[in-house]
Amino acid sequence: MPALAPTAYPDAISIAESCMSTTKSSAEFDRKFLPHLDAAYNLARFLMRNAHDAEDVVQESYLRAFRAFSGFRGEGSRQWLLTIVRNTSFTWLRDNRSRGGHTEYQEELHVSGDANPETQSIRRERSRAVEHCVEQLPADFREAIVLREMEELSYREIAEITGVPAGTVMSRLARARARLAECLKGSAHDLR
Amino acid sequence: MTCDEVKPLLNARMDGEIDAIESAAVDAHVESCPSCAVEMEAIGSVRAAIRDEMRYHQAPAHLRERVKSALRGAEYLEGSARRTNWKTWGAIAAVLVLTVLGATPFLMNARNQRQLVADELLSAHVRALLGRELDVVSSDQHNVKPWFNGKVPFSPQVTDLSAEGFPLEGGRLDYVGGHRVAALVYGRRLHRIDVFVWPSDRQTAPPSHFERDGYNQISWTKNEFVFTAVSDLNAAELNTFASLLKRP
Repeated sequence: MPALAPTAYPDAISIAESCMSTTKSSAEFDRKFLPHLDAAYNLARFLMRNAHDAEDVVQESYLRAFRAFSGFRGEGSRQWLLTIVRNTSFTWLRDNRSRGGHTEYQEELHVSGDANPETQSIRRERSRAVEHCVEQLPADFREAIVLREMEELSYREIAEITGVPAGTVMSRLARARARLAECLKGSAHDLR
Repeated sequence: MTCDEVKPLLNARMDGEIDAIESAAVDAHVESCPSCAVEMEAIGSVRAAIRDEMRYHQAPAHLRERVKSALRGAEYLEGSARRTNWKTWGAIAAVLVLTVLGATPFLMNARNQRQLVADELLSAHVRALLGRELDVVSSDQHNVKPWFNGKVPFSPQVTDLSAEGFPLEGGRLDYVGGHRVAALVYGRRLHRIDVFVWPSDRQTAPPSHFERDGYNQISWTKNEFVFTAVSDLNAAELNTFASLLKRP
């Protein structure tokens, strides 16, 4: 008597699997990519320079990522998402879909644990100066700075995301920092 | 190493991007070269300033919900596309047959284009149902119309149809085919009707009638604007609604 193999009802099994596959893959997508929402937003926020556009770009990027998910190799999900975010941001900037204008500086987010109000206000001045100088940079310099200093990615990783050789990343960072040094020197407070 | 060799490497040295041997050579030079030392210090203080002072922008809480509901909307549409897979295969077969017969590819392109716009409108409508708030909430056409000023490069006609049983609820901005379009929102009992409006020279209009997954779309052109009403309302009532808006 033949043993009753688990594949006795291949149809039932494959039907059940195909029903589950949608939920499974979207749960997997959420698990892989939602943890990088802050990184996605931060990059978009610096590239678009205002909160509204950054949110729209992030939403569109997640939808693009979702549609392309089947082609995702399964490694480096943050980098993969950031690549989509920067491409979407640059498309928006190029097509002039940006609403422009800078979002007001949000004071409350900058209050540090330091109780001394004078120190706090100096800190705020400095933060403002740094943020201002970064916003003045051309978008591809700004992008290199954010990916390097905030996401702590290597030159090679940044090169992959931005689609330029590592040597270009190196020179963009060097020029971006030189400009920042110049801009900060011009700001009211000495940084040291 | 000379200054000219060392200077381009200073950033990479600070970022830990050059190997140990090269790093040692750069360091040795910097130690004996005041000009390079000044430059290295400048790079160091810029890096410190950025790391200490640049604020990491955290995603606002509502963005997470917004992204999730957009994803669920996309998933829903993808699922429904899979359910009607045989239609896609039918369409591919039809394209092949027509191409073999030498039908003009341009006609197919135009048709596909219209279909794509219809799909995009449906997905925008579903996304909105899944949780996007209205950008302007008002039943007064005199509030809704001026709200679009400066947000879309045209001035959409806004008609209140409360008297006819289709109260205006408000409006929002949407993106269709890479363009910003106006979306006017009307109610009908518990149903919601989105009316997408854009200038007819801006982009393709969807087919005049389109139906999928229980959603109906009616599209028409009036005064050089393309109007498309999308809703899960039944086709007859949506037709009534459209004919009210079509009135001169």
